[in-house]
Amino acid sequence: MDILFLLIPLSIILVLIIAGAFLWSVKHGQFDDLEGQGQRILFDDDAIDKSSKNNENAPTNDQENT
Amino acid sequence: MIEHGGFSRYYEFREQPGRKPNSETKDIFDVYDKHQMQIGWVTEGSTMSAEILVEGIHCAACIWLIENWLMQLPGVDTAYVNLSQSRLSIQWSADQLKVSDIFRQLMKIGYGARPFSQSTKQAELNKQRHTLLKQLGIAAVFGMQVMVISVALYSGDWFGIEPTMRIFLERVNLLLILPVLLYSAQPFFIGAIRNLKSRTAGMDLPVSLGLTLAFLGSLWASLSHTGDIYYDSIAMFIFFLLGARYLELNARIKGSTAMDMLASATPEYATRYSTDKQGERFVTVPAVELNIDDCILVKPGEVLPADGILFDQCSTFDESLLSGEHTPILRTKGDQVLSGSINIEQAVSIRVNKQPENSTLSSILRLAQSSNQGKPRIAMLSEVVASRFVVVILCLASVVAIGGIIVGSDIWLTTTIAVLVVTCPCALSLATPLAISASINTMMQKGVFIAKQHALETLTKVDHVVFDKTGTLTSDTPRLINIVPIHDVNADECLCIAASLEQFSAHPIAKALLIANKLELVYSDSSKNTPGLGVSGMINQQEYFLGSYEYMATQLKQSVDSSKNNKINAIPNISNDSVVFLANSTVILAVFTLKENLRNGVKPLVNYLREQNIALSLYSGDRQESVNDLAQTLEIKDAKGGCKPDQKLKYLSNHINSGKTVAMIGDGINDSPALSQAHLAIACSGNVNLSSANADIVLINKSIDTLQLAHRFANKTSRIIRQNITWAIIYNVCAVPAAVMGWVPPWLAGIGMSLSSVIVVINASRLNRVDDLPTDEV
Repeated sequence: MDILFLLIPLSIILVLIIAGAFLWSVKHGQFDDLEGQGQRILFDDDAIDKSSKNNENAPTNDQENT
Repeated sequence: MIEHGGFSRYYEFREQPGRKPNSETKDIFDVYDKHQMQIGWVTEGSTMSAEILVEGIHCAACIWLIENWLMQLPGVDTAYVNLSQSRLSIQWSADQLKVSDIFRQLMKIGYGARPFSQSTKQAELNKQRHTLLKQLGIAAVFGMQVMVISVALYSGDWFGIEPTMRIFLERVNLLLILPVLLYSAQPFFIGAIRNLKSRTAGMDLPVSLGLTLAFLGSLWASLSHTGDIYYDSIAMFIFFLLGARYLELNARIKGSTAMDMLASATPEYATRYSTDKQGERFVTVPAVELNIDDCILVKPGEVLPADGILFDQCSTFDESLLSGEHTPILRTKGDQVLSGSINIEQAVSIRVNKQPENSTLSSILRLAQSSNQGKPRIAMLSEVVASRFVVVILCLASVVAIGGIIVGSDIWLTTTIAVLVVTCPCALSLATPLAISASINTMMQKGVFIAKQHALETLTKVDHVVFDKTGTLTSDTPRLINIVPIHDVNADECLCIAASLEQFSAHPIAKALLIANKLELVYSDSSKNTPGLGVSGMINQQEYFLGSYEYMATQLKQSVDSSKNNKINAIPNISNDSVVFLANSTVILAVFTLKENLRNGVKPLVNYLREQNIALSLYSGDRQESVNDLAQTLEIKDAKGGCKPDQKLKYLSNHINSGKTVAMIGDGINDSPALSQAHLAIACSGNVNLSSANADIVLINKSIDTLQLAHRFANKTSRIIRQNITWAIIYNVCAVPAAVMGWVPPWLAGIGMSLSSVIVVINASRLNRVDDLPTDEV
C-alpha cells in the first residue's frame, strides 16, 4: 500500500489542476450562458445552409445598403 | 375652413410628417450614432464593437435568426447572442455600418433593442455570481477529494488501518479542507461578522460557529490522535449551502435583468424645441445632449428626461420613483419638476435647469431598489422566525456544551457540533425566497412580469377583479371605421384636425386617429386634456374640441341638442362602438366612429375567474352603452360606464372597504389612481412606461389570459412554500432533540442538514417547470 504515499499527492496535484482549469473557465465566461449553448447546437446545420445562401445573397444586400 | 397654406406657420412636431410608429422609431435610432450616446456600450476603433440588449428573445431560434441576419450584413465580423442575458455582442468595421443601422436591422426582424448598460445593482449581482460560482466549484473539487479520503478513513475504522497511513490520510484531508474553509466558506463567515456587527441573528451565525467548532475539534483530534474528525461533514455542508445560495442568486439576477428591460426609467431621448436654419421645430435628441435652458416637450405617459421648470401648462406628475408616493402631484407653471417622474395628464413644456447626468443616476438606482420592495408577508414572517430560531439554537448549543462539560461527558464537543449543524433554518430563510424567485422567473417566461414580490401572495387572495375596458378587455388601439361630417366640411380635414389635437396624447383613441390620418399634422397650441372626457386646442387661431358627448355638452356654448341634427341621429349605435365628436367653439363638425375588438384570451380568463368564485366588475371611462354591451357579452353584472378616474377610485374603495381583496386590471393614464389604490395593480403592456412604475404585475403578452396562468401559478407557489415550511418544522422537531441527546454524530447531522436543504430547494425548483400549466401563444 506504500504506493498510496505517491498516488495521493499525485491526486492532489490533479485536483489543483482541475481547480485551476475551473477558475480559468469561470474567468473566461464559459459559465455565462448555460442555456443558449445547449440549444444552439440544434441549429448548426441550418446555419451552414443559411450562410451558403447568404454568400449568394451578399451582393444584393450590399447594394441595398450602399 | 382650414386652408392648407395656414398650416405652414405652425411648428411641425416631427421632421418627417405622416407620423407612423415605424418611421418614428427609426428616427430615434439615429441618436445612437452620436458620440455621447455611445459611451459605455460601444468600443470605437477601426473595428467597432457594441453591447446591445435585445428585447423579445425567447429561445435558441431567436439567437439563430439574429446572429445569422446580422452576420450577412456587410462589415459585420461577429455577432453573438447571450441567451441568459438577452445580450448581443457585435463587432463590425466602422466604415461600412453605422450603429443605428444595427438597431434598424434588429427592428426589421422584429426585435426591440436598447444599449446594454447594466445598472449598478446588476453589475454587482453578476460579480457576486462569478465569485459564488468559483467558491462553489472549489468546494466541489476539493470537497469530493475530502470525501474520497474520508471513505478510506471510515473503512479503516471497520477493517483496520496502519497508524502511519491513518495519520497521513488525516493530514491530506486537513490540507484539502483548507481551501474549502478559507475560500469557499467566506460568504458564511462574512455574513456572520455582519450579523454580529448589526446584532441580528442570521443563519450565517450558527453555520460559521458550527464550521469553526467542527474544524477546531477535528484539528485537535488529528493532532492529538483522539476523537473524531469531521472534515467530510464540513466539506459537504459548505458545498450544499453554497449550491442553494447559487441557485437563489441566479434567480435574483434573472429577475433584475427583466426589470432593467421593462422599466427604462429615464428615457434615452428627449423632444427638444429648437430654432435653427430650418425654422422652429421639435427634434428628437439624446437625453444626454440636453443643456441647461433647453425647452423640451413631455407627452402624457412619458418619463421626464431631465429636471426642469414647468413653463406653460400645469399637469400632474407621478413622482413615485423618486419619493415612493404614488398619488400624482399637481405642478403648475414655474414649479420644479424632477427627472424620472411621469407626466400624467397633458403635454407640457419644460425648461431644463439641471444637466441630465446629475439627476438620472439617482433615479436609476431608485428603480433598481424599488423592484425589491414589498416582500411577501410570508417571506418576512419566515425570516423573522428563522432569526428567532437561530437564537434558540445558539442558546441550546451553549447549554449542551456547558452541560456536557459539567457532567464530564466526553462527547460534549460532538454533541454541540451536531446541534449546531443539524438544525436547519434553511427551509425557512432560504427556500421561501427561492420559491418566490423561481416562480417569478417562470412567469416571466410566460409573459407575466411580477414587478413587486408581494403580488404573488396577494394574487392568491384576490376575490374581486375590476377590469378597465379600453386597452384591457378590448385591444389597445381601436380602428376608425366611420367619419360623418356634420356641417359642410371635408372628412379628411376633420380627421387631420382631430389627429393634430391628439398628437401629444397617449390615449388609444388618439393612436387610432393618428393611424387613420393621411394629411400632414398641424401644431395644436395650448392643448388641454380633460382626463376621461376629451381634449381641446387652438389650431389656426380657432379653438377645437374633441371628445365624448358629455364633453361637448360642457364645452360648447350652444347646447348640443340644438346642433344635433339628422346626421348625428342617423349614426347607428353599433354594438361595441365608441363615438368621438369634433367641434369648434360653436358647432359639432364631425363624428368619428371607432370599433374595438376583444383582446385575445378575455373570454377564457373571465370564465376562469368566475369558476374561482372571484367577483368581476367593469368600470370604464367609455360610454355606458358600449360598456353595457361588452358586459353583456362577458356576463359581467357590475358594469359602469362613463367613469372618471375619481369615480373609478370611489367604486374601487367601496369594494376595498367591504373587506374584499381587489385586483385592478388596467391600462392607460385614466387608471393610475385606481391602480395605485387597489390591493393588486395589474397592468397590460402597451403603456409600459407608465404602468410598470405603478403596477405590481405587468402582463407582457398580447393575450390577457396569461393572468389565469399567473393565478394558478401563484397558488402553486404558495402551496410549495407551505410544504417547505411544514417540512422544515417536522425535520427540526425530530432532529434537534435527537442531537441534544447526543444520538446524532456530526457526519449524520451534516447529511441531515444538507438533505433537508436540498429537499426544499428541489421542491422550490419544481416551480421552474411549466409543463403542467396551460401554454399560450407568444
